[in-house]
Amino acid sequence: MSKEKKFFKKINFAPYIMILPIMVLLAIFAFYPIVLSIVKSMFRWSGTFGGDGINTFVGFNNFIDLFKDEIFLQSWGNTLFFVVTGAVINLIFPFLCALLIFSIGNEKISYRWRVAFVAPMVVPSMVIFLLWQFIYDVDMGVVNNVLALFGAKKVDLLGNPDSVKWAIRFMGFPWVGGTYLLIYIAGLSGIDNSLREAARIDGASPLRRIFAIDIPLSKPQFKMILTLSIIGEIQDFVKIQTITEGGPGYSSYLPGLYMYKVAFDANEYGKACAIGVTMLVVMLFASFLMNVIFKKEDID
Amino acid sequence: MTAKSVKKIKLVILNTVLAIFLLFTLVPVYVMVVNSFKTQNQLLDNVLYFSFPLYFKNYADAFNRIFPYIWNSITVAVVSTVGITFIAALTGYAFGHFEFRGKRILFTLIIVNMMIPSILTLVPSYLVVVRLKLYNTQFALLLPYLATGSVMGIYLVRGFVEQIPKTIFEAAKIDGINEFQSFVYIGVPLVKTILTTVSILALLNVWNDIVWPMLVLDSDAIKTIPLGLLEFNQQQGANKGALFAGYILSSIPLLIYFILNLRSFMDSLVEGAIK
Repeated sequence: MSKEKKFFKKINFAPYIMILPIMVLLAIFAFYPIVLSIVKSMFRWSGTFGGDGINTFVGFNNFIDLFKDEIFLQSWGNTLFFVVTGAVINLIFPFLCALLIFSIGNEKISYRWRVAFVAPMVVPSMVIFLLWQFIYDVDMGVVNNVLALFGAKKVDLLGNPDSVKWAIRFMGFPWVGGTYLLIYIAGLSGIDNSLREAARIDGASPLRRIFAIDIPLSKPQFKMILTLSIIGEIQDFVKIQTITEGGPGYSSYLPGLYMYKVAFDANEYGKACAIGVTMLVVMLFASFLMNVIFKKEDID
Repeated sequence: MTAKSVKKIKLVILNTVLAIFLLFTLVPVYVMVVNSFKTQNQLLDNVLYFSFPLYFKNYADAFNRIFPYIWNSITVAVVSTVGITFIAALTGYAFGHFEFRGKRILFTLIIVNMMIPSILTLVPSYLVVVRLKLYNTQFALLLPYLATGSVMGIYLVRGFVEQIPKTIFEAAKIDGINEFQSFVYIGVPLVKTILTTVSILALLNVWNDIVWPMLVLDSDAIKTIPLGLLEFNQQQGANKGALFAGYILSSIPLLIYFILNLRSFMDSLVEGAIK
């Protein structure tokens, strides 16, 4: 056997060949776009793709312009509203529902409830958006039909800057269907039952047991859902794009929606990348903050 | 009061509160069902409860409009789910089973994508698709789905393979087969349970994606359900009842899948979130 052959024999190529497909795919559809996004955020890059558009380095000018941009600032203000209200909702409602289901204490019945609450997830999210748009519709909508029963005046919840964000926030009420509920239930099931038993024998009331055992020991779940919820609220803009297109005016505009419009309506790709990078930074900061907050509490 | 009756009252209260929660959760579904059986005039009359006689023709109208989109969504979902599951199995197995140079760096390179929000890459990915001349083809959906959709699956499969004792692989070793054959004959059967999870999560993600298809698909012949519904919604002013029937029809494929795979569906959702 020649020396070369021996060398090849020693290295097992199988794993490398197995990893190759995903690496090629990621290189094209993930790594390259990530790098491009960060680099191009510092370019004035506009016009048609591949055409004779402008493509010049402008340093941090895109970011400086953005922070003077009223629409950009307002969309972050709106995001803050959705992040805060979303966090409160997702920490309370699915957890409450999870507690109820878990308290039944009968695996078979509790499973049925879980299935019932997860089942509506089969409806495509686009359908849900369009249905809520219809529910709020001024002329034919459900809300106004109900109001008419009581002889009340018509309301245009989506068309009014004061109510549009609240109307969108109310969508999905009581906000218990889906994965968050399952995560909380999984957390509650993971808590050692002897703890609850001991507290019960010590005479702690059910409410007291919830506050002394279930809530503190569900901290990993609270942390996970808080992080998921915050990142989701910052990132998801399709709901609003479908229902209000950011309106009326810019009262429900979001950074993601702004990015979409800047890129694909105005063809200002550099500025759009800068918005994307800003969002990345905010999301990373939010995750970091979650880690710090929840770690600090651990020491206390 | 005896302890037993206290328990019974407690159960009644719990179930009642849960039923109220569920009732409110189902309001949009109720609105959808009730209004799918209405003519336009019945709709203008009321949207809150059933109007008789029920108008079934909405379903025929909606079916003709919506079915092509449903079919497109099913095609894309099936192909990308199979692809994602295969890549996740292959790559996850490679990382879980073998020791090799650069393993940690390569794995980190893949996993880091879980932390990159898709919004960051939206614009440049669009550029890539246009440059590769994939715009307005189904490959514009499939290839990026395979890339970013596999990442979480790889993570799940690797974790699963690492927990399988090496001796099981040794015992199952068949003489004279190469590494790829042993992946297919020994590896895949061992990780089958986690592959179910991977495929369900992939399917859900692909099925519900809206932004990316909206960007890269243009012709009606390949549009997926969300895009088809949007279009239907804009054109169907004169007979909104058919629209609601269309909403219901487009929920049916996933409903069937959900019913057939109930247990694993429920488990996968938790596993995918906790990862």
